[in-house]
Amino acid sequence: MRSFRQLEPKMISLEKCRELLDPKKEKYTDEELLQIKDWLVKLARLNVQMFLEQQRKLKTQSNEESSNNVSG
Amino acid sequence: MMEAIKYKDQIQLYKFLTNKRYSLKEIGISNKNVLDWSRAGLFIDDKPTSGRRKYNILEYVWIKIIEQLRSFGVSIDAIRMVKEHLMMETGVKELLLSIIENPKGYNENPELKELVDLLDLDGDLIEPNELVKFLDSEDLYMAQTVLGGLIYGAFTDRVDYHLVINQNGSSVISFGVPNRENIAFDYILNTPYLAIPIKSIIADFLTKEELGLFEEKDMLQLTFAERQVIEQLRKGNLISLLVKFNQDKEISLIETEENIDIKQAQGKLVDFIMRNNYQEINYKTQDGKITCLRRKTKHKVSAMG
Repeated sequence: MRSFRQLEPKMISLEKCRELLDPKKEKYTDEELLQIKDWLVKLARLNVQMFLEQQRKLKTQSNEESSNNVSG
Repeated sequence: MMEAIKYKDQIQLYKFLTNKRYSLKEIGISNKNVLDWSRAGLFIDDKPTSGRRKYNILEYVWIKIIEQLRSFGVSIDAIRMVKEHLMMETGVKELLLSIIENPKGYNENPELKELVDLLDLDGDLIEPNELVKFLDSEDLYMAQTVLGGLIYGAFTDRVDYHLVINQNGSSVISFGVPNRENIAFDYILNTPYLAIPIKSIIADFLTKEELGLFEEKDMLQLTFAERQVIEQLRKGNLISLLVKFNQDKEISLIETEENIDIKQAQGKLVDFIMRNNYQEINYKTQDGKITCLRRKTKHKVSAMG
């Protein structure tokens, strides 16, 4: 499966999207590639938020466990 | 592009999309079919499926797409090509790792600034290996593909996405009903093709309760009137459904015609009509007996429901 490898540090260019998702220029217009780029950023944000939520839960659980151990 | 939902709601939606909740029975596909498709490599993992396995909405949609393609006569090889297209990673993992590695490099990019801040704020919680493990988990992997973006987009953008596929397995995503004006699709429209509206698959699995989950947030692509049409369609026994639009191109009236069980109309027909408060009823008789009973109902639809 292909994906955006070696991302350009300052931006995700449309050309990069084209190169990786539609090199033959037969699947997406520029407008559609922009939409996919938009999905990428939004999905990235959601994944980070979910990950942080999970990490916070784990941290709280671990704190509670160690506090129980101390009191026990 | 409309962005009507807030952060918290988006997470709720994302969880909703990735939560494995549907059995094959609920999807309406036989275990044998899914097993065959799984063996043929049509799924993202090669794990053998079983009837007890649960599927998330992304998998649900993919299974429904396979079903439609098979009924269209598309070969397994061609569907594998469609899978390659739809399961292409959008690059979420690479983007995040790249930002973690060099946050300053992305700081100047306005579309990514928010993401950089988010990663930076809770930097102590972001352990790259843990993040990769999280992103690669079975539940979330599919959400990071083109299909994941497409379904997420179908919920959050007011765009009538169609997946357009021909029998050779060439596929494109159309951001509206496909037509010849769009040159990008011209080659595919010159062959017999199938256009699958993503919205129709989503409407298929959303229950009334799940629709209600997002109703107040005005984030769902379907309007109140569209959902009413779906509710009518789900009732069964329908012979016809007529939708009328007002001058603003909004649904204003839904007119349905349905068969009624003749046994229900035993006794005096007038009593039966009065009892059920029917608006219009048609019946056919033969030798003095009712052989067919149909009713028409008109539902007025207000813009706000």
